[in-house]
This record gives sequence, C-alpha cells and structure tokens, in this order.
Amino acid sequence: MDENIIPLIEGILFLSGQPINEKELSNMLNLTVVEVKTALDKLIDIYSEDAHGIQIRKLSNGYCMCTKPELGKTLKQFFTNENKLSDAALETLAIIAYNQPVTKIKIDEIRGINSEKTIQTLLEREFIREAGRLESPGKPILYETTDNFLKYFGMNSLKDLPNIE
Amino acid sequence: MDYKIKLELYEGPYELLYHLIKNSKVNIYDISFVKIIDQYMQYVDVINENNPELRSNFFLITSSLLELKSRLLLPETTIVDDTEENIEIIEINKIFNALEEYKKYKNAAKILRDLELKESNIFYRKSNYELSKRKKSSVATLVKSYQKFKISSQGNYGNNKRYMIREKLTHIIQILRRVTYISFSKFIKNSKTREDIISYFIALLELEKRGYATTSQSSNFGNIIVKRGKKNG
Repeated sequence: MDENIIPLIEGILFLSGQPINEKELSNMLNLTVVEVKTALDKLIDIYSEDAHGIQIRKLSNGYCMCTKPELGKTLKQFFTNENKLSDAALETLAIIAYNQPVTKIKIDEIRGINSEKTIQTLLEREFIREAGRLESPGKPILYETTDNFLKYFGMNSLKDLPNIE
Repeated sequence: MDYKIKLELYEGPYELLYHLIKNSKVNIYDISFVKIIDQYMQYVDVINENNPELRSNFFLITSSLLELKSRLLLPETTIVDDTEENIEIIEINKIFNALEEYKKYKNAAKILRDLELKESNIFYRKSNYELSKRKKSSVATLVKSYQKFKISSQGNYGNNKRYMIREKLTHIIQILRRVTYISFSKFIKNSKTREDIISYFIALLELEKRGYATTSQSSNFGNIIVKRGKKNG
C-alpha cells in the first residue's frame, strides 16, 4: 500500500500546474497528512539523486515539479522564461510586498510618482491582486501579493521575504 | 539621445535625488545642499521641455527643494529666530525621511531582482490539466443543492422579463469609470438566468467595438478581464 502512494503523488505533481500542499493531497488520496508527508519526503529524496534533472520543490505553500537549477544555463538557450520585471515594477512590488494590504496612494507617496501603470502591469501578470477596500473616504482599493508572486521569487510563504529593516 | 537615456534612469523624483546624493559620496547631512539642488534643477529643466506628465511627478519635490534653497541662500544677518531655523530643519528632515523610506524599498527591489535572477534558472511545467476539487457530499449538501436548484428554476419558469442590452451597457461603463480593471465574473455574480449573462456578454462585445472597453482572456473558458477602453474617461 505504502509503495503505491509515492508513484500516485508523483503522477499528481506531474499533472498539476500549481503547487499542491499536503492537505490537498491527503484529501485527494484519503490519506493522513503524515502519510502524505512521508511519501513526499521519499519522493524528494529519489529526485535529489544526480541521475534526475527534475526536482520536487516546496514552493508557494505547496509542492511542485521543476527542473534543477544547475541545468538552467543550458536550458535557457532553448526555452524562454517569463519576461523580467522592470525596475519600476520591482520597486512597486517591493512596496506592496512589505506593506500589504496597501493602497495606491501609499505606494505613490513612497515612490513620489504615479504608479498607476506599474500596478496595472503587476495585476495583469498576477503578482498582485485586489484585497478589498480601505474604510476611509473614497474607499481606495487595497492591494496584496499573490501565490504567483511567491512562486516567481522562489518563496514558500511571505515569512520568507528578506528582512529589510 | 542623452535626454532619453536619462528619462529611463530616473523615473521618479526620489530616485533622482537618491542618485545625486549617492554620486556626491558624502554623508547626506554634510553635503552642500545648494549644490545638490542645483543639479536637481538642471535635470528637471531638461525634462520639463515637452513632457508635462513627467514634469508633474517632480513638481512637489522640486518646489520644496526650491523653497529650501532660497532659505539656505538667505543671508543670516538678522537675529536667528529659533522657530525659523526649526522650519528649515524640519523641511530637510521631511525630504530625508521620505528619501530614507524610498531607499529601503529600492534595496528591497534589488534583493528581489537577485531572487528573480536565481529563479530564472528553474523551469516549471505549464500544465493544461485543471485540478478539479472533489467535494465531500452529504445529505445536507444534497438538500442544499436541491433547494438552490428549486429557487433558480422558479426564477426561470415563465420568465417574461426583457433583457435590455442598454441597461447592461450603462452598468458596465459606470463600473469601469470607478475601476480600470475588473473581472467579467463580477458582473454576472448576481445573474440568475442565462439570458442575463448573455446580455452582459453582448453589451461587453458592443463596448469593445465602440472602444469603451478592452478584454483579455488568458485561456479558453478562463476568466475574462475587462479593462477601461481609451474612450471611457
């Protein structure tokens, strides 16, 4: 029984485009979280061997399959990654990440510049999303970062944000 | 040409000030501020020429710097009034505090850039398979869904309501005046009938044709993102 779980989880991770966490896997397979966790650890071990070009990575509050970083240099010659973010977009994203949920007014204040366009770009690329409205005059929209943000920067949760103070 | 490169370099007023102070390579509290302000004005003069939008971004900082410069240049012949000196210090501190805050996020952006570079070595699968969440069913959920079905079918039965595209047009335009960006599902959230959803959709197509809205959809049957068009405010 135990041996069958590992290939099953491998199959699920292969098919899923999004990271899946232990809880979701345990619901899908009718297993306890502990059982899933043990199987996942074994799977991670198997893939960590040099014979594999794929790794199982804990990311954005879940597990997913991706290539190993040491292959990156070669793979980049044949496959293109997402477009890099502009300096302005990164700056805005940093302000949102460390202050979320935050209004556009606050972002503009810190940057000293209108961030309308940058925010639109970040929304389109799903790095941020609307997070309700602030209870103040004009009810400005609040923004927060998404799971896609965590994935893009290789973080598991917002706790992984580097300390900047 | 030079002018264009500069524009890309300094997008905001704090960024410019930050670079000027960094270039002077001194402690920000020791530097001759008048010199920095002059350099700042030189740059702003260049961009002033035919870009009012960009110019407005620099306006606030420019004017407070100018005020500061005039204070600094005034001869200190009169008996130094305590309150006046304080104003000067407060002004400088205000700008520096904003600058420090800005610097913090500039550094954070640099850290994110490094992470981005590191992560660009890792490739992910773009899977076409959607994860269908298996719902747990019980008698209670069965009862609930039956009730939901009954209510919705009642609404459908003998429904003679006419669906006005015009109504939907104005509704969409009104919402797009307030937000630049909304998901189509928000419009049809309260729709009880297919006809209602269809009229929203037709209205949306009409708006796009007239240039009041633009739409995009990331995948087949995916969510439709509605954006404010060029003609709509």
